[in-house]
Order: sequence, then C-alpha cells, then structure tokens
Amino acid sequence: MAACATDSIASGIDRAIALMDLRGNARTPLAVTAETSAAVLVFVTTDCPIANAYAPEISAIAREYEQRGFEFFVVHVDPDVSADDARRHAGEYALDEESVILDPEHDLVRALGITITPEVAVVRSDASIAYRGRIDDQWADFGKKRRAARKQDLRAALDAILGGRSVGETRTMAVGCSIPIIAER
Amino acid sequence: MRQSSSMRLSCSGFEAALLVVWLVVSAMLSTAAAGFAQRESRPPARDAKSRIPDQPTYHEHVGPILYANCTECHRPGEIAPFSLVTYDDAKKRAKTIERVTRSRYMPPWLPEEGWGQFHDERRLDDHEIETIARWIAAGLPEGPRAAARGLPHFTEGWQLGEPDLVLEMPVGYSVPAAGPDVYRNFVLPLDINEDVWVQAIEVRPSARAVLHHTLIFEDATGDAARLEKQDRSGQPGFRRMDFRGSSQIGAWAVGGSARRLPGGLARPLRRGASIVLSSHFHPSGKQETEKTRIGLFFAKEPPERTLLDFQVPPRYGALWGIDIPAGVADYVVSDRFVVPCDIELVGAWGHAHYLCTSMRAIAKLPDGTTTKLFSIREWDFDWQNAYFYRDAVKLPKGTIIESTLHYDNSAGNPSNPSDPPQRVRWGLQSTDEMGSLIFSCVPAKEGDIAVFRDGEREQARLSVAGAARRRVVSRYDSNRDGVVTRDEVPARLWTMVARFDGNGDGTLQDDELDAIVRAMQDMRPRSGRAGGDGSGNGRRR
Repeated sequence: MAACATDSIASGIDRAIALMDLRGNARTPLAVTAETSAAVLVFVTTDCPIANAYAPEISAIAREYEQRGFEFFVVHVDPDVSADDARRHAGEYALDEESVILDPEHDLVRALGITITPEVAVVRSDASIAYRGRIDDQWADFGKKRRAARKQDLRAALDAILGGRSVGETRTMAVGCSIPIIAER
Repeated sequence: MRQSSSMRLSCSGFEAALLVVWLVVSAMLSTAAAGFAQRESRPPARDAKSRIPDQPTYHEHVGPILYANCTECHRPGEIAPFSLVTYDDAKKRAKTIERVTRSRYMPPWLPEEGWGQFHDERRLDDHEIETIARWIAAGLPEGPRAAARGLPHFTEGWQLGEPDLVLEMPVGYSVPAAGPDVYRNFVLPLDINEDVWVQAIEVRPSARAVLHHTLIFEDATGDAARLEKQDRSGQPGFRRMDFRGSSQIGAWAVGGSARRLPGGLARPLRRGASIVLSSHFHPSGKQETEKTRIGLFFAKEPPERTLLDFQVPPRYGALWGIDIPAGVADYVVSDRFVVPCDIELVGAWGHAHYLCTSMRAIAKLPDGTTTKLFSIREWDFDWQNAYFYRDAVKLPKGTIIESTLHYDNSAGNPSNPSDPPQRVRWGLQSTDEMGSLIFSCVPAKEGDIAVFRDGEREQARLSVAGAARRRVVSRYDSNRDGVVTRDEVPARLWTMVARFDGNGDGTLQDDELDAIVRAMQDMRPRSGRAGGDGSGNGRRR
C-alpha cells in the first residue's frame, strides 16, 4: 500500500463523522478499517435526474466491489429528505437500503469537498481520498449523454486500489446537479 | 379531400420515419393559454441599460423570473423532475439554476435570438440571468413577502381545453431502468367516421421522466399495424423506422407548448387511418411504464387556405448525398430553395440526428435585402420543437432561402453515437444522419399551389444535381481545389472534359460541372424518381 502515498491528498478529515442510516443507527463511513479496501460514498438526491439515471450502475458497481472488500454508502444530501423518502427512493431505484445514509447538515459533503450529485469519493483507511469525482464519463454535460461511457473512472480507481497501484486520475469533474444549498448553521 | 392528397404529395410519400417533423408545429406547444398569454405580455426586450438590482431578492426579482419561465413545467405533477414553486425550492437549487441558465440549457429554447420572432418563447435575457447570479452572490435573500406575486394560474390537465378526441396507447410500454435511449413506434387505432381537420395535437405522457419526445404520424396504409403485429418482443409497438405511406401530423418534446395552428389552418386526418407515435425514451434509472395519451383538436370547418411544408434541403437531405467521413469535425450541408410564388411563412423548425451541431436559414429577397429566418446554434436532438412566427413572414416570389447545417463526426463530439467515429451517410437510424430546415407556409394566392409544387420539384432536381456534382468533384478533384483538371481524370474521360470544358482552359469548374450533371440527368428518365417514394432509403449504399 506504500505505493499509494501520492493518494493521500486530503488528510486530516474527521473520521468520526456519524450519520443516520434508514434504521436510525449512527454510521461512521469515514472510519475505514484496515480490513476494508476503501469506503465508496456516492452522493445523491431523490430528484436529480442524472443521479437517478446512475442508480443501476451504482448498484452494479456496489454488487461487484463489495465482494472485493469495499464498503458502499449512498449519501442523501437534500436536507428535506427524510428516512422514509430515502427508503421509498431506494425501493424505486433498487438501491441497497442498508447502504443509504442521510447527510442533511452536509458534514460529509464538506469533509470530502463534494459539489455535485452524483459525485463519488473513495476513502481509504488512512483517511485519504483516493478518488473523487464522476462515476464515468457518460455525461459530458447537461443534456450531453454519450451512448456509452468511454472512461469508467470509479471502476478504474477501485481496480487500482485492489491491484496495489496508485490511482491514475484522482480527481475528475462530475456532471450533475449542484449540491443543494442548506441554511448556515 | 383534395388538399389531403396534395399535402401527402409533398410531405409524406417518402419514408414515413423521415417525416420527422411536420406538424410538430401544431402539437408541440404544451402551454396553458393562460401561461403563454402571460409570457407574451412581457415586454419583448428589456432596455439593455435597465439596472439589475445589486441585491436582488427572491420575492421581488427572482421569483417572477422563475414563474414566467420555469414553473409551468417545474411544478408538482408536471414534466420537470423537481418543483420551483416556493422560495425554499429555488434556494435549495440556486446553484444548479445559475449553471443551467448561464449555459442556456434551461429553459429549453433552441432558436437563436434575432433569427425569427416566435410564439411561446422561453428564453431568459441576459438581464434575468444576471439577476439570478447576483441573487446567489447576495446570499439568496428572500425579500419582503409582501412583494411576493402569487403563483400564476396554470391549467391542469389538457392545456388547450377538452380535446375533440382522446387516444391512448392500448397497452403500456415498459422502459428499462438503464441502457441506451429507446426508439419505438406505437399504433393507436383511430375510430372516426369521416375525414377530419386537425388544428392541434396535445401529448400527455404517463411516465414523464422517460418520454423525451414523440413524433405523431397518420398511417393510412396499415403498414404500421402490420409491423406491430410482426414484432416478437412481447411489448407493444415496433422498432423499425421504415413504415411507409405515413405523414407526420404532430410532435411533442419535453417543455414544448401546445398551440393551435394559426389562422384557422388545419391538417387533414383521414377516416380509416391509424395514428402512430414514434417515441424516444431516456431510461431514468428505474423501470417505468409509458402509456401515452394524445388529445386531438379539430377545426370546426375545413380551412380556407392550404398549409404547405417545404424543406431546405428537401426530404430531410435524402437527395443531397450526405456522406460524412469519420473524424471530420465540421461537415457542411447547404442547399437552397427558390420560392416559386408569394408565400407567408407561419412556422419553422429543423430536424437532424446526433452529429448535427447547428443549422441556419436565411432568405435573400428579390429586392436585395435579407431576412434571418431561423437558426439553432447548438442543435440538440433531445429538444425537437417547432416554432410559430409571431407574425407570418412574407416572402415574395423569387426569394432564395439558403440553409446551412453543420455536422461534427469527430470523437470530440460527445453526442457522436459511434466510438470511434464511423463514416456516416443519410439514413433513418439514429446512427445515420439527415437534416433539413423545415418551414410551414401558405401561398399568398390559393391558386398558386400547383406553382409551388413545381417549384419544389425543381428544388429536388437541383438538390440531386448538387449531390452528383459533389460526387464528381470528390472523386476526381485530387488536389481539392474545387475544379477538376484534365490530369485529374483518367485518360478515357479526356474527351468528356474536352466536351464540357466550355472555356477551353483544360479544367472543369462550376458551370461546366453543372453542365455535366444536367447531361447526366437528361440521360435518365426524369421522374424525380430520385425523390419518389422511399427513394431516400434506396439511396443508401
């Protein structure tokens, strides 16, 4: 894992950030254990069409990579979305309810520097952000969707981690909805 | 119904699917009467110097912009993915609103400013876009609630009132959660006892997140129903795009507004025909079922004047010889139509597939003046709407309408359906290309219809001639200087060069190439067969 030293761009993120899942249990997605390859956090809202269109791909990647030691979280960033809303949404879009957590105060959003839905962050056990950005390049812009993605950025990052290589492109720009603005605390 | 057959002559007749846009005009506009009355009562253009408030507030400044331009679709139960009705709605999404308004992705309105004045315009002016940006910079102030204007009255359900006839897909179509876009045709049996005149068709999708646009055809041949029966997918509808003998009578795309044809104009719909919906779906991330309903609005009596559509280039470019090499980033299709009698343009729109990037048409009048007719600077296949001129554009006989369409077949075009890029020719599939600017007009004198038809035939002949000439040049002009010289052609053709080299300079240029093409056309039977039924398809090699 020493090969990945260059991935440690953001250190000092608060590993203790605790958020509620749909059963009301507190989860600490950034407290990534050494046994976990990495935590993969996918930021969504219930009504961002691009995030929703990615739901099948999010589920497919999660199914594939959970078996290889990654832990997945689907993080709702709309402060008005309740656990019930998120459960209904997970049902509609066939997302794994177990992986859904709510970030109404944007603790994770700020800690990881997320600006878009659907944006993903891959966090390693040393609290570094190994990858942050788009899932793939299928959307070039609003309304500009390729027939198929040409670059599978998230999968490439996860494969690099599995292979003990450094992630090639650690930061990409996601295309989608801006993270909702919430009231200042 | 004489007009009916004449209309079919010009507008249908070839590939049903290329019909693509016809009466898009009439159906597209799905706005409440109240909605557009209100929009059009806005001052058409604000004084550019009028001051943008330094600290705009929601209730005073931003809300009214959203209500006038966005809320018609962005409200509960309507087509947009989220609502923009309250302060909280707008505040939460302010950054997205700023991005999509600055890039002019929203509101969806493709025509370029200054190229035709159209009804139902949904375009923010720079002042409004800047107001939204400043509101965000100012920290999203709500402003005095006393200044809040109530939400405009929006008509629920059918926007044009109770239709004369409602048709619904008999069985819902199941759209998969993921995968590429889906194109599919659905047959709606039409049970009417007499021919009718249709002034508008309104479309109500059931799965609003997935149905992006639908083109509506009249099929009097039964072909579509046959193709649907032959489909083995177990789902309603059929995929093939080559049902023939149909003519397009309407269209709808997300964000379009329903509007009746102006001036009592109407399109014929014949007894015994079926309606075919040719629909384009975007998978939304979850499986959805679409069961489209359409509402037909009939004219009380037959129209006094005949609505004619023409295209530049004609027939969706089928005759033009579109042939775009892989990797070429700017391929240009241009053609012209010499207006054969005095006409009034009532509507305009365009059609092309995914490689097209922009399209424009300009009119050169006999008096030497020019009129900008229509332009889409960033063509987007997803937002196929048709547009009605606020005031009919009068074009005298002899006006030349020139159209230009640009195509990007490079890997740098994200809309390119092929990766890596492939050579693309004219065709019906979404991986093929086509392209025309399309106009609806009425001849100033009803008696000029035959003259107009003759003009269209001449236009088709010239389009074919242009294609032949481009083929000659592309085949022999090895140094790409636009003229064919004697040493560029094989020795066996030297006598031909000599025969057509009118000025004896050893090269074939413009008028000399045209003479060759004319001679070639004279050798063939003239029937415009090049443009006859289905010929476009037949030209595919």
